[in-house]
This record gives sequence, structure tokens and C-alpha cells, in this order.
Amino acid sequence: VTGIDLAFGAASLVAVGSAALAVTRRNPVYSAAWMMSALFALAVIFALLESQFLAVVQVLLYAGAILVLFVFVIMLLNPDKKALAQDRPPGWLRALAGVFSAAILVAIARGIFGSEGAAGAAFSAPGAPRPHAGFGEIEWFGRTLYDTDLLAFELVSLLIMAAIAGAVFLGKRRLEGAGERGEDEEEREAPGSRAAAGTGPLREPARPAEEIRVHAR
Amino acid sequence: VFTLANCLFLSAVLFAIGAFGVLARRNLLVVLMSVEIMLNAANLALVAFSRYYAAGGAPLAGRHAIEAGAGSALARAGGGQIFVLMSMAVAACEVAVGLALLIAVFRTNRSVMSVDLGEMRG
Repeated sequence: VTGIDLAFGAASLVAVGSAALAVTRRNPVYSAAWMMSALFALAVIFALLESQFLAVVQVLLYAGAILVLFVFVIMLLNPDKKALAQDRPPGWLRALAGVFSAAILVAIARGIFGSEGAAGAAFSAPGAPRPHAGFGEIEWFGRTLYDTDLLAFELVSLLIMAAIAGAVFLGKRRLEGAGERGEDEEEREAPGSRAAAGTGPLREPARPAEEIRVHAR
Repeated sequence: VFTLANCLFLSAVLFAIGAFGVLARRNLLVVLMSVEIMLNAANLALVAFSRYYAAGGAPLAGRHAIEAGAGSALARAGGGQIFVLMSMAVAACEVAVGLALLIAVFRTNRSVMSVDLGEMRG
């Protein structure tokens, strides 16, 4: 047992404990905080697995960008205690979920420990073979990404573009379905007023009622 | 100890925790977070395999073995790390769109609980 083993064990415990707490806290702000701890622990494990660049990206992208987005949305929605108390599923549902996830765990563990060579040499053993120098560092990463995996890289940029467009569309507009309620009623304009104003794509009057109407805010 | 099997087991535990969260929680925000935990668990498995193969490890074999075909991108040394970067990009997109959807749902429903989405029932 070396120092790396101890670091791995500690990071694993932190990751599992924080993930369990993140999943079970009723208040999503606590969930986000515990999830940040789990993500940092995973970044430590990534670094131990000789992927320094991914460890940095994990902290920047997950613990930085994604989690901040979560916290912003939590603040925006600002759920009160009464709403949060709704998040109490019946016991049978929780038991079923527990059984199901335990079954997943057992199935995967059987696959892992049932395979030959799984016991293999520890990564941290003194004489164990190691990856070549520079493996997982940013230069190796860039060369591989722009050389062998250029297509995947370009496709991801396309995906991000599509996601930005989708997020902006969903975030900026109000989708009014059949059952408007509450404040939506007040904001609805008299029929024809927009057509009279003559702006925007909603110019044509008499749209079928079933159609989802999109109002610019 | 720090072996491939233990890394994979840790990944399986995190995946199971995430799956529990997705199934048992009603707050859609927490469900999205659980999905992120599951994605992270998969990333951990990919990074561990990447480290294993880069050090010249032999593909695992056995009755329930987790196999990566010899020519597959995952068996290529370091392929797993590129895969993880892509998966992180996908996760970021997923969160952006998922949270935008969540806000749209909240605007019409005044709630982010999955039980309040009954009108989506066919």
C-alpha cells in the first residue's frame, strides 16, 4: 500500500459519500454543494490515473461551468419549503429504486471481478508498467485530438452549436399550450392586436387553436 | 489498492447511486444532477481503461468479461481520454438544454416536480 493507494481510497470515499448525499438531500442547493465535492474527488482520481488534462477540465467544466449553471437555475426557480416537501416519493418507490440500482451494481461487479486479469497489478505498484511520458498531458491531448480524432472534435462543435440554439430558444420564449394558467392569462393579448401591430412572425391571424403559439416575451 | 478493478467498481457504485437518484427523486433538478453523476461514473471507467491500456495492459477476458475489441477506439491507448472529453462536451450541452427545458416547464407549471407533469400523460 503506497501513498497513491491511500489517496485513491480517500478520494473514492469522498466521491461515494458526497454522491450519496447529493442524491438524497431534499434541498437542491445542498445537492449541488455535495455534487461539487464529488466532482472534485473524481478530478483527484483522474489526476491519479495520469490524465492531468482531464482532471483540469473536470474542475473547470463540471465543478465550474455546469454546477454554476445548476446553482443559477436553483436561485432562479427559488423553490420554497412547501414545494420541496413534495419531493417525498412513497416508500415503495424508493425501495424499488434501491433494489434496481443494487441490481445494476451487482451485475457490473460480477462482470468486473469475474473477468480474468481483473486482479492485475496495481497501477501504483513500484515496478508496474506506466504509460509513455507525456501521456494525458495537454500536448499529447491536442495532438491526438486534432490528428486522429478530428472528425469527432468537429462534430462536437456542431452539437454545441445546436445545444446553444435550443437553449436560447427554450429560454427566451414562452410556449403556451392548451392549459394556460395563472399569470399567463394576464399577458395574453387580445386577438388581432399583434396582427394589427404587424410585427414578427405571428402576423397571420386565425391560427388553429391546437397549434402551440409562441409569444416573444 | 489502486487497480483497474477497483476503479471500475468505484465507477459502478457511482453509477448505481446516480441511477437511484434518477428513479427515486421527483425534483427534476436533482434528477438532472443524478444523470450527471451517472455520466461521471462512465467517464471514470473510460479513464481507468485508458490508463490500463496505455501501460500495455492485456484486454480483460472471462465469462462476464468487459471486452473492448482489439481494434476499437477504446482499446487504443488513450482513446478513452478523448472519449471522455467528448462525453463532457455532450454533458455540458445536455445540462444547458435540460435546464432550459426545466425553466420552460416551471413557467407553464409553476413546479419542477415530475409528479406535476401529469398532463404529459397520453
